[in-house]
Amino acid sequence: MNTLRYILLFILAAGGAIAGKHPVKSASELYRAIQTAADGDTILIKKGKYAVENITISKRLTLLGEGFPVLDGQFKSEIITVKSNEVHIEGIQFENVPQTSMIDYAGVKVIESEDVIVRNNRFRNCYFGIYLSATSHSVVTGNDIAGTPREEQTTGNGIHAWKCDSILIDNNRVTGHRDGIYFEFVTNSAVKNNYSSRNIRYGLHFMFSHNDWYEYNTFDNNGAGVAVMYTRKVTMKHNRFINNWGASAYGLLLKDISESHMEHNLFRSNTVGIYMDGCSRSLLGKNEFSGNGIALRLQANCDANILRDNNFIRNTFNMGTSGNTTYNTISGNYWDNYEGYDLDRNGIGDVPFRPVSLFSVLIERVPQAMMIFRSFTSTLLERVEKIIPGITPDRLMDETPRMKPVKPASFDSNKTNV
Amino acid sequence: MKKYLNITVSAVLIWSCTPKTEAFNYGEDQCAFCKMSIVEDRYAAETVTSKGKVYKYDDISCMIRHNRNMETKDFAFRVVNNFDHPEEFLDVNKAAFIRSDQYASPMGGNTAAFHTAETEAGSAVYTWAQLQEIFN
Repeated sequence: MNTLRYILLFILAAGGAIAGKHPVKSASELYRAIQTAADGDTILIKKGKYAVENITISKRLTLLGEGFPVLDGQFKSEIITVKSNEVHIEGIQFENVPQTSMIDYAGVKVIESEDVIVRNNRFRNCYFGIYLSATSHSVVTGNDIAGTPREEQTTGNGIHAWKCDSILIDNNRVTGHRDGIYFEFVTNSAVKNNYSSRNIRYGLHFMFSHNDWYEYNTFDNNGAGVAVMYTRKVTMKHNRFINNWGASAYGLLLKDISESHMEHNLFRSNTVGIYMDGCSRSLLGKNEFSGNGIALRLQANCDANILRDNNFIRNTFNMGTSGNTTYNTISGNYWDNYEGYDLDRNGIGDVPFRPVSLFSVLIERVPQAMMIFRSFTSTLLERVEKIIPGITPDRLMDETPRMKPVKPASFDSNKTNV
Repeated sequence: MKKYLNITVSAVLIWSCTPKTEAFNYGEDQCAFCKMSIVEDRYAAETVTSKGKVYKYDDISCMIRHNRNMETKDFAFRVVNNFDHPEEFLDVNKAAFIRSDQYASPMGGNTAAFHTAETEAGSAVYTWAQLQEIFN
């Protein structure tokens, strides 16, 4: 037994000796260290500025920055391209990656690898910040990514993942890119605790990415909000979608989404809180819609969705729709402009509530009609319509509206468990 | 006087109905099919109906899918941005299209339009009619 223990100890000690450290102070030392280092080595980059170009890492290395050394791409090419499993990049500032028309240059690009960690780095003026291509079981966490787009259409995405599986995007800050976080063909992955703001197009953009979940993220003041498209089985919980104003802006655009869960989210101060187009068999529960232009736009091509236990507070319009959508279940929501009564005191209003108002139907057909909104005539028409529904979809209603709002959700991942 | 007024009014009405193409307002305009905002000029496309309604698209595949229920007589113009000079419109019937993974367009149509095109490795040149069959 003892012999075995000594053998084990020896192997461990040898392993420790093999995993060497290479402190570097200049760009040429950095290149040499990457060339000579063995699998499992650590390259310690000391504080300073390094003018570098196109570093390819094709062994299992750890790149560790001390006091945020700056790797400056000088607007010439990509900075680091990872083509090996088990690469770890931490504590480095990446700067100045050029924008090109054919190649998507990034601060850090990972190609066809596994078990890669990109942690606590800074990205400044990069065309793409972190780019994961055909990569799996990898982690991107604690990075601070800021782009400065010279022109709207000439900036890449902050964190870009394409054809990936089982990746975690956690606790990053992204600003000033085209899409803050972009997923295309990414499966079984998580986006958590990120803060994505002031990006040109979307704070988060999902396409063809099944079985993913995102929670405790904040998407604030992005060009067009967040878009989740052509995807099955997405879970979105405890996210905040705020301050997305503009003619084509949404808090959340759901296009061709099915079998998904959206719960405990906050939609505040958006032109449209959620825009649902071609969605089916999804649950929207316990979300809060407050201070939006239109809280929820449900297009007529949506079916078998459940809208339950949500709070609608201080929205100009609760719901808009492009037809007589009756294939969805709406029940037990709180509508702040509900004027019914609750004689049996069970907390549920005794008369149904119709969330689509006359005016939201009217501006759907004639947008200019907005001019007479909140005038005496419009109030009168609205009253008449409530008593004798003629134009509004009469079967689209909440038969069990709540008298009091549902308890609001928490957005701090440390305090609650999902 | 009234006669002139009538003429002016009808002239204005006719003028306003004349179909014409419209420049893209990148970052603001929305794709009529997939609802994404249009940011990449190299892949943008536009359909103008004979009644003068302008539909803009972020991807050539979106244009074909959105147009599939319309008839040829409904179209006044169908144009695509020239990949090499995105500020230039090309008529879809005159353009040459290349499909390749190199052209990562917003909705995965991966198709770019050119004046004239030569086949490169890993890509193929298509006409507008051939593209219809691929995306429809």
